[in-house]
Amino acid sequence: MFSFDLYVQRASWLHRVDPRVKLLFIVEMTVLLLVLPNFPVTLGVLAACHVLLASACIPWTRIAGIWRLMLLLTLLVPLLWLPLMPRAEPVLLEFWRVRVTLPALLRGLLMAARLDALAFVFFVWLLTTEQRAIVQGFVRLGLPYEWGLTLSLSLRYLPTLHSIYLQIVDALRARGLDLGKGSLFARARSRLPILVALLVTALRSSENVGRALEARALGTAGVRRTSLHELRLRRADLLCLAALLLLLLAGLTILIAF
Amino acid sequence: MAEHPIIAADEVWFAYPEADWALRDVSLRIRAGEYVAIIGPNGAGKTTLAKQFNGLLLPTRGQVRVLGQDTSSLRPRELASAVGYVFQNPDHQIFAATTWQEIAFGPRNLGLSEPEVRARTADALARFGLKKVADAPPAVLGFALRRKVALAAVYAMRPQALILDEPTGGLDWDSVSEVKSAVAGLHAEGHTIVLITHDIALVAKGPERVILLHAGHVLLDASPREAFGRGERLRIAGLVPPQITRLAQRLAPCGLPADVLTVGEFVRAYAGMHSTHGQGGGGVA
Repeated sequence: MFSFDLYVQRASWLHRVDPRVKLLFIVEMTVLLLVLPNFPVTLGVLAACHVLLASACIPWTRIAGIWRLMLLLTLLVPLLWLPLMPRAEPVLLEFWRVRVTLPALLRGLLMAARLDALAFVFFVWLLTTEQRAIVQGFVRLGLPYEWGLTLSLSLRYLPTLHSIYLQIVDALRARGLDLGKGSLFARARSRLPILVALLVTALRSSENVGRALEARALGTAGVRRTSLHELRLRRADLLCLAALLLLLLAGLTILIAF
Repeated sequence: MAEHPIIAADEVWFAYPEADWALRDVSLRIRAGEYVAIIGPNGAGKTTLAKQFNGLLLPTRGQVRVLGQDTSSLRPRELASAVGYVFQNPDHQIFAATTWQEIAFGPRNLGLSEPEVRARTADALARFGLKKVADAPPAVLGFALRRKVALAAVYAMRPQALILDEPTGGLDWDSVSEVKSAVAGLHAEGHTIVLITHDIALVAKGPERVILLHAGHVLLDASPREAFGRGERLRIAGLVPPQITRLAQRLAPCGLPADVLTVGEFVRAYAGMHSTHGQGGGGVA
């Protein structure tokens, strides 16, 4: 079955890091990339992500897959930036009313690199953290348990929904539905029966899941939930937190000094 | 029965992406008017094989022909009028606001005239006892009715062959009987029926041929009477003959025929044996 879960099971140090620490890593890297839009920071974050992924024994084929996924965006962003700074100098190319300048090219490359770096920050999280741990981390950070459970169930049912979608497509194609004919509007319209059938099935399934959860006493008033897997910050997590704090301080120093 | 095959599979191999072979060297002919049951354990390749018959899946190797035409050269839409497929879960095909619209969907896709669509829809509603719910949203009907709607929706397209994927799954005894008699009626009218099922008792009562699949192979292709006599083959696929057949097989040393398929046959055979023994002064203990 097609999987929406990016998690790669390994026994690395990064896999064992508390999901809350990894969330802090994402927040901090995102902030750094947003407030320090320069090549050293951007390329530094990108390199750090690759080092982290390698140290977590993530196969290079998976990392190459992410680059393939990002390839279009990486090429498109600099291209779109090329004509956007026509008054800057030096001019690299001039044709018709378009002036391509070096600052525009560099800005475009920086934007693309920032987007790639941002994506890799999130991929470090998703490739090394189980969906269950992600939700558990959110719950320990204050997300109500019911919301966390809903998020967890949504993630768990994505592959199921995808499989149901494929079966609905097959069932309707077998009744003569043609999905690949006509204008874009006609093709979109021909998918309407699929969406309705998928929605009806999804609603029916969610009702059943809801009843099954109720039957197992979810939401009973006055009951304090316990957890089989308690999240506890270990020494390694504290070390990671300290490293992140130092990195944040270094970033702030650069921001203030320059 | 006509002699030409409506469906012909030749040395068909099929694998889903990044998976092992789901079908291995399957060759078979299904002739017009035949009633064939495809049985086998979960994951044996039953649905995968059936989906080759209407072009929803194409062989990785080998060839499938429907009415003499290679399925790889046709789209499922073009095969829909020849081979109808009723899916296991009716909810996977129900989407319309009313039962009438649901049933009319297929005939409309075939490009039929509006009077013809109306006539076929009305006929399908009447045939499957759905007239009362013609204006009701099919999605809110009970499971047995939804299954009938799914069957009626495919029947309305008047395909020459009908593939029924687990048509009795999740139904009560009365509903199973209704489905069985509806399928028997379609077969009697000359439709080719391909039944995919786990229900071994259902196989005993209608189909004239059983194809046993195991791990993508055809393990057995025989009449139900012959198939149920090959217990060792069935056991490989984790199946056993119907209870009444097994009872008859156990009583075979007492003179009961071992190839009994139904309770009716058993009773007749037992009564015959009893009267024979009675005349001779003996009896069955």
